[in-house]
Amino acid sequence: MRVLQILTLCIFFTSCGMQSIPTALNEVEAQWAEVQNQYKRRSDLIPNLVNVVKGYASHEKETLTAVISARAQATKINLHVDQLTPQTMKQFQKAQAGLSSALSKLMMVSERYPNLKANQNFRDLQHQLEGTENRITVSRNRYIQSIKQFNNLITVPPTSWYNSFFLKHSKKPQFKVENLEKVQNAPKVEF
Amino acid sequence: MMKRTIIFLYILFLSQLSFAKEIPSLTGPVIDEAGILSPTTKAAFERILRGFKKQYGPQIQLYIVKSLEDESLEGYSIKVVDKWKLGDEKKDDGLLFMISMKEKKMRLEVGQGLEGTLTDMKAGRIVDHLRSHFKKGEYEKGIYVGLNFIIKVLGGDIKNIPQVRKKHKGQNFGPFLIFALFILFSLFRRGHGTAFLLGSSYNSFGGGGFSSGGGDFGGWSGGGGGFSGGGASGSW
Repeated sequence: MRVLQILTLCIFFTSCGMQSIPTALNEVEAQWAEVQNQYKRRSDLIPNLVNVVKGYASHEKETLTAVISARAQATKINLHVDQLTPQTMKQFQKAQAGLSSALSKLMMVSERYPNLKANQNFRDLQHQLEGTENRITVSRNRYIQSIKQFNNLITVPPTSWYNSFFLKHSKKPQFKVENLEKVQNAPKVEF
Repeated sequence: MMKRTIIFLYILFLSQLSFAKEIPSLTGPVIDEAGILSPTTKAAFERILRGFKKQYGPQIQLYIVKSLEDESLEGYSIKVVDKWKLGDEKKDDGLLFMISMKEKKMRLEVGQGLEGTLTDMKAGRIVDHLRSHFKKGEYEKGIYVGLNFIIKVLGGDIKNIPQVRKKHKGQNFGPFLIFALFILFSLFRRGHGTAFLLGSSYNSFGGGGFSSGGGDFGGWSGGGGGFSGGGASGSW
């Protein structure tokens, strides 16, 4: 009889969110750590990149300083999962987007310097940067998936009842598409 | 309830994905949808990749597609490895060498456990090197050179890989014949717009024929390896 009670309790608790909500939260934590890790990886590449470009394109000072200051802005913001709110998320994304655009400008400028483009060091850094950008995309997508799972658990019954009684987690912010207007007004290709 | 929600979400997810390029099932170390490899080369590559996995561990997969069907190369390749889960679950030592003929693009998708040895930089150098071969249309040679590089970087040597040969036995002709008929049939029917249906059955059939035909071959399936987007892409 006792065994039966324990069993029923177990079944009740496993489906109510006692297990699934913390598991989902751990997943969110891990994915968020990965996102930050990849962004950090990108900012670690920048000093080397700037140095190499400087050697060939010294009069592109403006673009280079823009990258350095955008990097400084981006590395300033480090967020723990508990600190994630729509507000902080927005700041984080803004800083990283600033760095992204400064970097893409730098890469565009470097197209004008054939010697720089032929430099093995630069090519290596370019590969590393491309690889890191791709990792960022992958980690962001996985974060988005994990957040979806977590937010579903704490807002959709029956697991949401358990959350509102005991855990009291609030929804975690999602990544938003940056500059939605810009995306919608993407340049049209005409032939 | 939860399960039902998940299933519902899953179906919703699938229905949204229906326009995306379909990922085939993992039938062997070489999947050549574009048909650029001759049967002998394909068999040789398969021997190399199976031998390498047996001797050194990492699972290298060659996947050639005709077209990406409007998907991005990186977006598609990560979906492929997430489905196939190449490499060992603990070692994460899988690698996907993907080539898309129409877009003239290639990518090395490197498993998490191999990122330390085959860094983005090294993967990028390999891709840069192969570009010259692919530009000239030397695909088989380019792929061979590429595999050679990859194997070397991962600490192996293509010459040390034992050349396991498939035994030819009379009684193994049955599945082969049916398999050949299937190919003929699907080729014949391709023009009539039923290629999709036949294509999928042809794939699963190929998997069955493989394991029954090769006595000294194990199966070829992913072991649960994880990927996080490392590697390099390039176009030619």
